[in-house]
Amino acid sequence: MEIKDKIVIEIDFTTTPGARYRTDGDFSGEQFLEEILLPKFEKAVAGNYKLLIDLDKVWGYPSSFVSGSFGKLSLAKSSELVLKHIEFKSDDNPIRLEKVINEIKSPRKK
Amino acid sequence: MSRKQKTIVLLITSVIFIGGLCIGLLWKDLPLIKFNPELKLYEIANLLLTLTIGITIPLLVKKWIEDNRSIKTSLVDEIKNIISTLGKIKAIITSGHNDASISKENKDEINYLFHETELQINSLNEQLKIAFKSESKKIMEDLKKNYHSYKDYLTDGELMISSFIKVDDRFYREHNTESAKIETHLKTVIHQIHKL
Repeated sequence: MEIKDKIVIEIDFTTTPGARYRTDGDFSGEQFLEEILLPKFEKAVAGNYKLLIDLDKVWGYPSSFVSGSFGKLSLAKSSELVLKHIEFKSDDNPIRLEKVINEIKSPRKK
Repeated sequence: MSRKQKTIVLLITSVIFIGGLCIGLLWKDLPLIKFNPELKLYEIANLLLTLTIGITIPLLVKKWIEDNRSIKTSLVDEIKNIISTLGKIKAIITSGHNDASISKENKDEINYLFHETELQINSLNEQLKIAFKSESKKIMEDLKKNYHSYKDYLTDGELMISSFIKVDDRFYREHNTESAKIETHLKTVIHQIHKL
């Protein structure tokens, strides 16, 4: 499947991802999911293409951000569909990549 | 085969060839050594084999032990670096407890220190795979599990919430327990590596 769109988190969102919910503060996982991730993901599914997400060049990803965005998307749309339409990139940190993919495969219900 | 290995192979071959030539000369033409005519060929081969084993085995074993020790020292240093980076996170929490406050900058720094720790864990993983491939999988699985448990404690809970601005006694004590768990695990990994 061809990659036709991308999200570069440090450019399109922030270099300092926050916590889980909007009520927890700025740049939360919920904000990222609702404003950026979900709309682009739905377009990718409708257009049958892949969305590339560049995870590099941020200060770090709190577990609550990962769970509140990628985990929540996986719970809503199924891990198979998410991994079919999203490709992740992290040249800086392979463990970060692993953590995001594991969260999608086994999302925590919070 | 590396250049060094090629040189060693060439050197050994040359020594064997020259040695063989000398024995041949001594046996056939030069009456320098008088051999017992009843001496069997396998007895000479046995003597040469014993000499070769006696010289090469201690050298090879010594080299193997030294190489192994230096690889393990390097791996242990990697783990000590991870302990040191996680120690910086502990220092931020301790300072937050002492000052009764923790800022957004402190939280960003904690997230960055986790990123740094992940780079160090990844480096350890790569080196462990090269040196001890079969044992590396289980060691790294356990290490990552313990690491993520500690990271989740700090970044999947109240600390990352913007209204969390004070490290109270309860959080400080709980964090010390979680921090001790990961530190203890990393120290057990050092022992596991020494036993490999």
